[in-house]
Order: sequence, then structure tokens, then C-alpha cells
Amino acid sequence: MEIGNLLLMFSSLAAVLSALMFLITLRNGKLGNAVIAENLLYISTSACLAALLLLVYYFITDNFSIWYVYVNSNVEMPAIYKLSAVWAGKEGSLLLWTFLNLLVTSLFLSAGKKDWTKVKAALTMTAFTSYLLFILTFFSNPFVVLPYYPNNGYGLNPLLRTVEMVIHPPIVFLAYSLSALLFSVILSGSEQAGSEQEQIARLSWLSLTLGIIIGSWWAYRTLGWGGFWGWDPVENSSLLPWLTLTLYFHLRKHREIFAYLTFTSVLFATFVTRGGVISSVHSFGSKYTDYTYLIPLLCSLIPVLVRAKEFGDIKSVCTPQLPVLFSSALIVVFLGTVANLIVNVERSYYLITFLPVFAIIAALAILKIKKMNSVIKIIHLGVIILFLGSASVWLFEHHETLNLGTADGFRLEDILINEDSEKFTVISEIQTPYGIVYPKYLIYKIERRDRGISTVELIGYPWVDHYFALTNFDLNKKEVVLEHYTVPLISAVWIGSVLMVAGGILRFSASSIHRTNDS
Amino acid sequence: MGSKKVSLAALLTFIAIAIIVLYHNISPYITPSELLNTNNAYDVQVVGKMSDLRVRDNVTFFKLTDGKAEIEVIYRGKVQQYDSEVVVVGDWDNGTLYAEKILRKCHTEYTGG
Repeated sequence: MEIGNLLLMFSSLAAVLSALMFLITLRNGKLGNAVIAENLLYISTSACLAALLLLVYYFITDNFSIWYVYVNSNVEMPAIYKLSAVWAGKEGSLLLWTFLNLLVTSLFLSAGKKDWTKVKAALTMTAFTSYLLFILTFFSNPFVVLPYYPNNGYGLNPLLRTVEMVIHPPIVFLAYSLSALLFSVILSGSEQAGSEQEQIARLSWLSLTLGIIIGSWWAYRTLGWGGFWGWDPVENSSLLPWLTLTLYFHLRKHREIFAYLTFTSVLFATFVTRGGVISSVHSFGSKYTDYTYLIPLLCSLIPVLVRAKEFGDIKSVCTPQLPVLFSSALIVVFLGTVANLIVNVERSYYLITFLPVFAIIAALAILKIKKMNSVIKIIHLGVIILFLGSASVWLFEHHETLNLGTADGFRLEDILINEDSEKFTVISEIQTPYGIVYPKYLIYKIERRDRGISTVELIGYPWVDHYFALTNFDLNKKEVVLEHYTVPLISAVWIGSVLMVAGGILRFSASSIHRTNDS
Repeated sequence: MGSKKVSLAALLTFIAIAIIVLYHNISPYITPSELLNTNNAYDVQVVGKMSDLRVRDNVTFFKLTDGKAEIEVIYRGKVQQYDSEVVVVGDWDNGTLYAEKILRKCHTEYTGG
């Protein structure tokens, strides 16, 4: 039997036993018994880490008898992308998420004083992670072995061969794991866990924000992804937990509801991205909808429903209308995402509904910014600048497709093709009114059919980006088709994002320093 | 109490507006088999898998299938053949779909988001 499988089963078994032992400890009322559960958790975490490292090893050593490696890699690919390929697919990314869940639970449990809150929170976390491990082992296993040994892999999707894709998934999944931990800690119902809770929430917000920004940076640099924010279901479903968590920080009373909803949104995102809901609507024989993630999703709604009455008493630290504003944004994005499962939703829907809400939020931030302390100020300044940038891009972006030779001011100076062991590269040199660009078209020597990709060339000014990509070429006739986007104030999107992340880092580190001084 | 009611009313009004706006900003995806039943259709969004990709003089030809029926698509420009589903936006005229845009449908393939 494949070692990876053994490790997964071992990790699952340890996680289930750990959850059981936490439960027994709670029943007995003897805190000392939690030691067994705790050690079982560490065993489970170690086994899961070993499985993850084994998968990395299989990628680095090109072990194509493992189906998952075969589908997502090939010999010629640089090692760094082989690492990103580990979490490029459904199975590997689930393994990563499961490991991060176990890791944050272990760290949470081992840090500081052990009390009943920790036992209760660890029970919720181990139970949820056991469920993920169960799916991983039996339904979504990355260690499935092929009955033969292919010479080379099918190849990683060229879209995912970027540095961003090495770091984006671990950061997003860390945020997902932390939001699960936040849910568990709050569910355990301790009032004194306040500062710890706040730290988990802050770190969760920071990694979610960073993850989303890296994702939009990647999307911006990838042709055909609809710019930095394309209102794609995958993007939308990561915005939902961001909105709930952001609102959480703005509430004084009954904020727990939105911490619960953050985890529910995370599970909704998981369901949308992994469930294959879309393809089931379009009836391809082999595709099926995966409803496994609906079970934890519905469970996570229970504490929300129990406290539903408190919705009316929610108190905000900002204006009383803030919860209504954020809820409006949430509902808009949620409705659009759900509708998009069945029909195509035009971008104008979001412009008409989301943008005004965003504008009001930005205006509120401007009104209130004077009274904020410096760190909070940085974050809110980031939001305001981000709003200006996004509004400008969404409303005023301009796109044209140019047939070079006929377009004024554009001239194809040269076009040639290069070959290396990994790919063919078509390089063009194009004179534009904004300067010379060298857009490329890469064709990877891999088995999969989507092996070609246009690279994006940017000529950036502080107020506008000129964005070029080659979409067609004729090497004999020396002709090319060039896509040209004029993207006004996109720099504001990135400046705002950097400020938000910087503020988030300062806020998190300030709270940890504060905590160290306390103890 | 008053402000709470106002807030609730505002939220409900907003949801109602959002639903109306949504209703006016959707267009259904159709499949090649559905399209074969009509003669002409403009600005349609057809979802399917690509096959049999050919390129001649800057024009791309390919077939789009939903597993039951397939249609011929003509696109002025280059596309790579995707393994996953694509959405072709264009005009349907007597057995040929003249594509204006070809969008990737990434959702079937988990892309790390």
C-alpha cells in the first residue's frame, strides 16, 4: 500500500481519537485527561505533515505513478512550480488545508494556559478536521496510484505557473483555518479568552486580506481573468468571509454572530470551489456535485440561528447603520454568486449594487478617519484609496483589440520564436505610442491541450496602466493581434491594498507585544 | 426602536432593489443542443467543451459540444484549446456560431482561490 495513504489513515485515526478524548475529558470534568487528547492531536498533525512532505517529495522527484503528480506536473517544469503544483488541484489543496487546521489547533493548544475553553475549542477543531481527513482519505485522495508508470506528466495548467500561485493558496488556507479556530474559540463561550480571540481574528483578517490581494494581483496579470476583480464565483466567495470578518471588528455587542458567519462563508467558498456545482448544471456525464461540504456548512449555521434574535441588538462602534451597510454588500455578493451557478451574471449588476454601498463605506471612513488611532487610520486610508482605484477601473477601463499594421501608432518591429527544453516562446517587439513592449506567447511542451498562454506586458504610469497581450500571431506573414487595456488608477488599488496589509500587520504585532507585556 | 425599524426597512428595500437589478442583468447559458433547435440567435452565451481546433489565416475554427450535440464555431483570433468548459459569446446564424468572445469557465477546475 502507498505510504501516503497509510499516513493519511494514521492521521485520520489519531484525529478522530483525539476528538473523542477531548469529548471524554469534557464529560469527566478532569482537565488532566486532556493530555492524551492533546498528544493524539500532535501525532495526527505530524502524520499529516509527513503526508504533505511526501507529496512534495513525489513532485520534486517526478513520481508520475501517483495520479495527482501526473495530472499536475511534468519533468521540465522548474522546481518552484512543482511546489505550487502540490496545491494546484483539489486533492493537494485539501491536504494543505487539513494540515493547516491541525497546525493552528496544535499551536493554539500548546500556547499559554490550558483551560476548559481550549478543550472545547480543540474538540470542535479536531471534529471538523477529522471530517476533512475522512474526505481526503476516502473521496479526494492525492495518493491514488496509477496502474502503470507514465514517462512524463500531463503538465500543470500554464495559468498556474506563477510565483503568486506558490504563496496564494497557503495564505488563503491559513486564513480559512484561523477562521475555523475563531469559530471554535467563540463557540467554547469563554469571556476571558477575549485578547486571544482578538489575536486570532486579527491574524485571520490579515492573512485573508493578503491572500485575496495576491489573488487579484495574479488575476490582473493573467489575460482573460477579468482584471484585478472579475466578480468570478471563486473571487466572490472569498470576499464573503472578508466582509463578515471586517464587520466583526466594527461591532461592540453580539459581534460573535459575524465570527460564526465568517466560518460559514469559508465553508460556502469551499462548497463553491470544490463542489463542482457549476458543471452539474451543465450536465456532463462524468461530473457530479459534491455535497460533502454542505454538512459542516449547515452545522456552522446552528450557533448563528440560536443567536438570531440578537441581530436586532447588534451595536456598532461606528455608525449604527454600519451592520446594515455591510449586510447589504454581503447579500449583493451572495446573491450574485448563487445566481452565477445557474445563469451568467453581468458585471453591471455589481456596479449598480455593490459600488454604491462601497462608496458609502468609503465616505464613512473619510468622515471618521480623524478620530482613529494611527494604525487603524492606515487601514482605513487603504480602504479609501482602494475604493478610488476600484471605482476608476470598474467604470473607466478601456479595451481595444488591434490588428497590427492597421492601428495608428502601433508597429510590429520584430517577431521570432525560441525553443528551450520546456517550451516554445514567441517573442514580439512592438512599438506603441507609450513605448516599446515585448509581449510573448508561451507554448509549453506538455500533453494537456491548454498549453499556450499569453504573457502580459505593462507600461505603468502612476495614474494609468497600459496593458498589452499578444493573442494571435502569424510568424510567416509577420502579423500579430494585440489586446490593449487602458486601466486608469489601478495603482490606487495596489497602494490601498498595501496600506491595508501594512495596517493589519502593525495591528497584529501591536496586540502581540501588548500581550507579552501583560504576561 | 425607531432606528432599528428604519434599518430593517432600508435593508429589505435594498435587497428588493438588488434582486430586481440582478434579474435585469442575467443571461442564461445555453447548450449546443438547445441552440440547434433555433435558426438565428443573437448575443447568446453557449457553454460547452472545445474540440477539433483548426486555425486558418488568423481565423480559428472549432467544434463546441455538450456531450449530446456539437456545433461549429468561428472566431477571429487565436485561442488555446481548453480542457475545461468554455463560454462562447456570439451570434448564431444558420448552423454556425460567430464568436465575439471566448471565456474560460474556471469553476470546474479548482484554481486555488
